Amino acid sequence: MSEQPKLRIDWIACNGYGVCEAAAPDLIVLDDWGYPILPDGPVPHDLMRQARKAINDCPMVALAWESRQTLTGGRLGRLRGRRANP
Amino acid sequence: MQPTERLLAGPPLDGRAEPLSRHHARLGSLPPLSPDQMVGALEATGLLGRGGAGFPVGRKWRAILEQQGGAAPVVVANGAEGEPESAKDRVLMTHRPHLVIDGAVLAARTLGADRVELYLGREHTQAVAAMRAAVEERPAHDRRLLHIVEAPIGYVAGESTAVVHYVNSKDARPTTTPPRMSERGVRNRPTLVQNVESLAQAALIARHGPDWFRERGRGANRGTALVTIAGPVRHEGVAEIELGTPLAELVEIAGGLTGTPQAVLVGGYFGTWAPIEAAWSLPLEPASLQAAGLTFGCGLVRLLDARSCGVDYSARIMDFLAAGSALQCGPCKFGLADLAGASGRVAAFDARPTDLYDIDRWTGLVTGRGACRHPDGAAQQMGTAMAVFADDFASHVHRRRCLASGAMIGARR
Repeated sequence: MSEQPKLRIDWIACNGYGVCEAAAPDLIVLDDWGYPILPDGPVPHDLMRQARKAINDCPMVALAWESRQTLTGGRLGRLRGRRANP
Repeated sequence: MQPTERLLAGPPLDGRAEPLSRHHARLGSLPPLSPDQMVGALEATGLLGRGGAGFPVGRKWRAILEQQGGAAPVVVANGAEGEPESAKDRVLMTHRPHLVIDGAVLAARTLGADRVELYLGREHTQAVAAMRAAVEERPAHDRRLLHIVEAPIGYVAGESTAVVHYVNSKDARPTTTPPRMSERGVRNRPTLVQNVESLAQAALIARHGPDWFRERGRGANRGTALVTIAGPVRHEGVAEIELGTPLAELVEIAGGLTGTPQAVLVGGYFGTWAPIEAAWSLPLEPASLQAAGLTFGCGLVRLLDARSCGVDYSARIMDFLAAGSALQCGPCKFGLADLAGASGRVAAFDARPTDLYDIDRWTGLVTGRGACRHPDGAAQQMGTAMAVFADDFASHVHRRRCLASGAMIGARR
């Protein structure tokens, strides 16, 4: 069985809309300022569906799988239309 | 007691830069080492970066050396020194600019870089002038390589991703990693961002070798380091010490005490507080400090007098760091502001019932939740202040009285 993936957040992109918490209430809670607190470890198998929904629903495309280098390049970078080091 | 002088050896530190002729007469030119020899020498020294994060210098250079085949790398000498109480980088650049430039040129030569950016804090006018004049003194092949960039004033402007961001687009705010700058930094080229003291150390290591470097030092981390000592000592300022020198000995080097310190902030505004008794005989050296829960950071050693209020001091630092946030990441933007607000109220005997609880909780909550480590550093300073000045924090809240200064409610900060 393959290792469970972890979530990762682009803190600069995140605007604290809280959509991820709504999509993944058993996985993500919001802090005092409305920003998501992610689970420490990998996403448990039974919460993968919630995690995927949170990633897909984020309006800022700030949430991603940690293993994939897509935060500032690749698909997410193109979607967001910006690069870290222009 | 005489300080250990390597970086600061040579003419007296009287505000004048050592000219190139004198620098050459004293140290000779850089020896022709192969990239692998040079990086191997750095690795053998165990030299840790002196900008604050303490990343191994050899490993940093190696990571870029291994990016062969792509575009030529860029070297950035980081002399922003945004740490308000630290002066070691500007003292070094003001008096020994050619040693710093040697280090930068050496890095470029070793890594195959065709451009060196000298990133200098624009508020450090003396250091900037010395570095400018020093660049003019260099031979044409060095001058073609060297470019001075005046960094904007600001605590995060010296953070390495902010440095690269500013060189690229005049925006000194940190960026998200990945990509790592060893892969894509300045103009998407592999980039070495290295503190100016680290570069100066490399320039000496190239000349004298790793065994010479390791002759000095009393702990796991070897060599000498520049530190800034502040507080109730006769001579506040910059000193070069053998790593592992106990705090007590540094105080002697600084001319002895002129007051009674109660605590010490080690490592900078991102650093850690310790009670003076616990820190007094502690070796100033990254590994020993880390074992004691402290940080070496940028080498700031800030003694706090027994009559000065640690609650107030740490709240002011918190306020400074909140104002220094790039305001890009939510937990840093709102968390540091709330931490500054709460600690400021405690310091001013105006605490809300939940303030102490919230400060404790928020320091945990902002840690690790930003693009850079600004919130982590701010929380570390605040958290250790809460522990070291615990009685005074409680007294400020519950008795509305300061244990150190005797000040009471009604006193304004």
